[in-house]
Amino acid sequence: MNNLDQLKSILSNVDDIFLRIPIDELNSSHKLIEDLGIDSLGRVSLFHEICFEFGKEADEAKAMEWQTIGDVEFFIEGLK
Amino acid sequence: MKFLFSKLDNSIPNNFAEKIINSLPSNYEGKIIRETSVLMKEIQDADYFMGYPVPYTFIKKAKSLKSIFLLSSQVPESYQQWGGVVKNITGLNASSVANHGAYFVLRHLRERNLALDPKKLNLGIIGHGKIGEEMVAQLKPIFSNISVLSRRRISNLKSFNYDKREAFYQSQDIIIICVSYNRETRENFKEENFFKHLKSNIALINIARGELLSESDLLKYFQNNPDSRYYTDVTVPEPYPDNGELRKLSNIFITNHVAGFYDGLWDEIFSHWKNVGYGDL
Repeated sequence: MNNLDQLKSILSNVDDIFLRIPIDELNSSHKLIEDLGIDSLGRVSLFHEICFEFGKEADEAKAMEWQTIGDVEFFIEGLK
Repeated sequence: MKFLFSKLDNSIPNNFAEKIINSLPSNYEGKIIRETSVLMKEIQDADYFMGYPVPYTFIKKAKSLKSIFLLSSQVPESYQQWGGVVKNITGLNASSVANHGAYFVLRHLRERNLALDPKKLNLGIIGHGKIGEEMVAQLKPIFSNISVLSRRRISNLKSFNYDKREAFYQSQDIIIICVSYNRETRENFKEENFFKHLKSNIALINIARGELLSESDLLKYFQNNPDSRYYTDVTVPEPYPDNGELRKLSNIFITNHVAGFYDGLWDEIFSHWKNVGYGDL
């Protein structure tokens, strides 16, 4: 499973991170705020869900730097 | 003991947050949190949480948390797996939300060049909880044909069960969504289950949750059906951006999640909390 598919899987299992488009349609170029409507709560929540999934600790400030889904994929790669 | 008041949203007045903090018992340290990243850190050793609902991830991280008081009418479905006490303002602002729904309906009747005659229109309400009930009460004097889509049969009203929902959707000129958001209702509003059964000149009113309807489904339907109208107080995200796609369509009208707010609301919430939530401290 690649990083994008892992991210989609995490998002499918979380009830309260809302996206403006279906999860299946996500791609690396989507912008978190403009395209997906993920607010700061959603971003922090996603950060911790990813860390939980991989059983790793990371600096939460990194989540504040995410602009696109590609950035989240890169973060996931770093946890592996 | 630690009490956390989440004030990430400016719609909660400062003086309300301070009033709550000042009324805590002496063994509680109260903190008002204004930033998401601070909230995630502080909630981890908090005993009591008050605020708008936060994603369940936050609650999972809160190892000492015993009680939550939500400043919202709905408790998120995800919170049901949590073992602590969850209370909320249940139904306190239902009447105010229904007033806003009625405003959307009246606006729609006068929206076109010719006013629509409510006696000739079918008005359907999805959900018959406190808001749906109030909605019926407010609109009954104006509309002759009001129907409700609900799991239970409603006496004195034309009611449709969910297995007849397609017939309900197809016959309505105005539909008001008043259901809570959960796995079941989320499925009910998908394109194939909902939009494809609507009249092409439907007025759809959403005073429930933005998450019920996907933005892509809304854009597709309201672009393809220019005689239809969408009036909503709720969006994803909130506040809805000025350059958001929905704002580009002239048949979509958005208010900024104001339906539940009215003069005196915060005083009523304070009294309600003292009655039902304070004892959990």
